[in-house]
Amino acid sequence: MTIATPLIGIGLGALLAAAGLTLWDGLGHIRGLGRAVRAIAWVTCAAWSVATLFLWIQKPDHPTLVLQLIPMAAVAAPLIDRDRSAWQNAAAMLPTLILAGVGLYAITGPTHPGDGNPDSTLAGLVLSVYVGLAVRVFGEALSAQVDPSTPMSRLFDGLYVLFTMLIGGNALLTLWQRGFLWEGNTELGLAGVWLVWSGAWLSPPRHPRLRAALVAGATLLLTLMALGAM
Amino acid sequence: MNTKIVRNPWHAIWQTVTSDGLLVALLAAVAAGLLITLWFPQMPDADPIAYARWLSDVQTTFGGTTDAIQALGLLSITRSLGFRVLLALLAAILLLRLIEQGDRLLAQSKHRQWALWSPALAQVGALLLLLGQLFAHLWGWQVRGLLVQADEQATVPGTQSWVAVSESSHKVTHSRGVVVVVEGYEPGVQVAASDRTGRSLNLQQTPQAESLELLTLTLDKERFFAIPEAGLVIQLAPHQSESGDAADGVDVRAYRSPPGRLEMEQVLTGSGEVIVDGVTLQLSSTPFTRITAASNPGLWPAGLGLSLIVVGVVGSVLRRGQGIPAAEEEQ
Repeated sequence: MTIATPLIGIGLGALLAAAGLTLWDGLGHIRGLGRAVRAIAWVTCAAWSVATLFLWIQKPDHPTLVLQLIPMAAVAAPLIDRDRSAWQNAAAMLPTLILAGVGLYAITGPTHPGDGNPDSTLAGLVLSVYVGLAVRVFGEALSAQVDPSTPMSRLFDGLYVLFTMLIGGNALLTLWQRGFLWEGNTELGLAGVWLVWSGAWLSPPRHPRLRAALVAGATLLLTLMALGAM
Repeated sequence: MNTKIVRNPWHAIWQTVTSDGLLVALLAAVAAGLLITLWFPQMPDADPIAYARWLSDVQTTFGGTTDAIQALGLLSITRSLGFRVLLALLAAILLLRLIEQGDRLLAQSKHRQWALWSPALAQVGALLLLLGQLFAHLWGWQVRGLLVQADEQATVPGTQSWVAVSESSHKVTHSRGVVVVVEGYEPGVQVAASDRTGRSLNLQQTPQAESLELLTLTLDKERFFAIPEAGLVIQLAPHQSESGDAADGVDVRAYRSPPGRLEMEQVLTGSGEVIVDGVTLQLSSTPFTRITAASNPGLWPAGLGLSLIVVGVVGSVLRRGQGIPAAEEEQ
């Protein structure tokens, strides 16, 4: 067990506590509790960020899944929004809790340490950060399912622009180098995720649940693809 | 007082086909088709070796359900009629939306016109991309695993195009309009045989094959050829070290035929001679370049389309970010 393991556990426990307190606050408003929950969420983010640092220092000792999941969870962590209801905030925390839970299981469970890819590069960390932001948008989409009147944040737009530029740039490069587009299954899958994201962006504002469902679908697929589960 | 509302059915149809809802539904359907490829590996086309490998993988993965999955068309989804119809519908809808947006552009005051340009650009881009893909499908070709010998011009099978590789600089030249990717390098060998008097002997790879005085072979796997006049069969294989890793050199084995008895075994590094029962085998190392060659007449429309999509999407998102309502929302 490395120092990263208790940090991941502390972060997970803190976020669970934050989710519980958020729901408690929702049942009957308690003065100052909201501020405490926000502080706990930041503690979670800090614990996972430090855990990420230790994990990447000792890369070969850890499973690849953990190297990917914990940076994602750290980026997706602080999701407490004053303008949202308690149920919405709790729903938004759910994907992060799942990511960190799986990460904790992978680092302490039956997976043997050392199957981490020692060749993991900075590009892998950047991908984890990007998918962490996508998980945050996934949390927002879940939150919007609770209350459809909640608008999606600018992060959704920003990630869509970034994803479009990445997919478009990569496709142009492939076209010029190989003469044809989307030859591999992964490339076709990513194009499919981009289409779902485009559908979410284009969906009429009078159907917020449809938009939220499409965003949730696109970000979930992207996360699974980044984790190599598809 | 009763008010009678007269609805124009054509107007209603036009509004439906140019609506965002229909476009979103079509995008979702096309996306579903593409995402299926993540679970079900797609059948390779026109390459029997790749097909055999794919079939073996699919049967190992899906077992007894392979036939049912294949019958449902899930293993060739992007080449299915249904998927092509979806793409054709998408192109038609994009065209109609473009006409509608052109109409709206003319009706808008000048200072608002720019707000409509971004989505229009993205749609023109998508149409160009689809057009490019159609051209690629109708008139494009791709040949994988083409082995080209150094300093020799190879004709791409089934086409008029050629590819050549320079031995000294490894520079690849090709005919106009061809995109070439070097996938790797393969060891190869040129073999000639002569008897004691120095007379050249004919070499034959199979009983049906033409007899040649100079045989060129790739050594990606073991190769056999016969010297009928000398009653010998020669086996050439890439040399492997004791640990089983690939190493420099060629394993040369000569068998008397009949009865198939091993006459000689030798490892040859680089070029050289091997003598067996008075027959001299001259082997010279000849590397091959493994190439994928492609010709895509839809390359420029697809490239331009992709660029326009990126510019259009970025412009549309920025426009929405500046609080300018989308044309759809104005409606």
